[in-house]
Amino acid sequence: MPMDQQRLTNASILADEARIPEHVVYRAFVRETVVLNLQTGKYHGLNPTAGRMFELLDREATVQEAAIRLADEYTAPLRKIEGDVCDLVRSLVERGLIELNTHRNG
Amino acid sequence: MPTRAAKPVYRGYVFGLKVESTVPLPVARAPHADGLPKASLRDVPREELADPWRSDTTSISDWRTPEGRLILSIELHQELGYRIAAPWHGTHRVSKDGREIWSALPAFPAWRWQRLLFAQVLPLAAALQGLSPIHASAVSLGDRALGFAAPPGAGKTSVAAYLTSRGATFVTDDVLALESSAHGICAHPGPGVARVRERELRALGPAVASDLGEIIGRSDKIQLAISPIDRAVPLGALYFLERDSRFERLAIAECHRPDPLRILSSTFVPYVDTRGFLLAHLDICSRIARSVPVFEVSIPQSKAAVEVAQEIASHIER
Repeated sequence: MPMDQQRLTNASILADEARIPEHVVYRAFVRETVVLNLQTGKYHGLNPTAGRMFELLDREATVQEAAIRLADEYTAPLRKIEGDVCDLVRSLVERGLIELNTHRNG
Repeated sequence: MPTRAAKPVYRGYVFGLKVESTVPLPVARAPHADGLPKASLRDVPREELADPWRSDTTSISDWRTPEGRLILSIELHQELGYRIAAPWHGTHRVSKDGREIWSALPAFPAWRWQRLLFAQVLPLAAALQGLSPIHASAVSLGDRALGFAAPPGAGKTSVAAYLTSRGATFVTDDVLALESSAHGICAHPGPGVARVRERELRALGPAVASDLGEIIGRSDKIQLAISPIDRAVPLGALYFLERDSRFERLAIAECHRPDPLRILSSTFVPYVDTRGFLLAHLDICSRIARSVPVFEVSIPQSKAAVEVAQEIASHIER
């Protein structure tokens, strides 16, 4: 769905489901995860932490659930992880590497 | 109406393709095993490759001398595929799926026009069929391929020639076709030719030079006929050769966390953006980073190619 970047508050992102579009694939390298947009032919590098976030965003039902899982894995404060995940999601949405599906009413 | 006599068909194996060609090519004999992608190559009159290309083409490469003379052009037509042309080397069309090649060949010695076939046309056909050609020479040692990736001038051909003279089996000179398989990454043989600078060939020593193969042509480099391996072998290691003035001495270091960009950018066909090729290349590069020993070879500008080859040979023997 088309997104207005201004409307992507942390609260709205966390409630959304994040999905990797069909034209985006990724593979793990040792140093980083490389994400490829097959429509543009462009490669994007994610450091190992962002790569793990990307993987969990695709797997978990909502961004919030991905953040909870990450906070557990990295034994870090949930609020901090939520902020980092939301920043990554904004950057990925901007590059067309992830899509957000809203579950909110209205 | 007279019928055109059927041309003989030559069958061979190069860059992971089973090639059926109406012109003989210095490549390994086609393996018996099925399953390899096929490409047919037919020589045609030049006019057959001209007319339909006047419109709807995108220029991918238009490489010229400072005086403006064409060296190489690559064009893409949305329906007809790719057209590759170079003066003295012929004009070629490669279908979008890489299965058919039409070649208008000039009336020059075969070694001359074969250069463009091996340096652009067949690697492109391989990429369009899901193989990943990288800019590397390679030899086989102990049934494992050792690849030497580098831009032109770093000495990768000398390394392959030197190792071949010391008992390794020649795999390829300039383009290494890789394929992902259940058993790892396969390295396919290139053509049975190597192009070496004359001074580098001399530096290898007269005995080595004559043992490598017959000289079949001379241009900016000497072209040698060398029999390549006749089957795919697993990729055992990949060396990235970098020649730069900032290096004071030659050093070879294993890279445990190789830079993805370095591996990805070793592709020989950066202009191919088909879904199948991009996926195959990403997959292979990821597997290289995770499962193939990668070495970085830092080479000072002043280091002769034969010295680089000797150092790498010592490193491999250790």
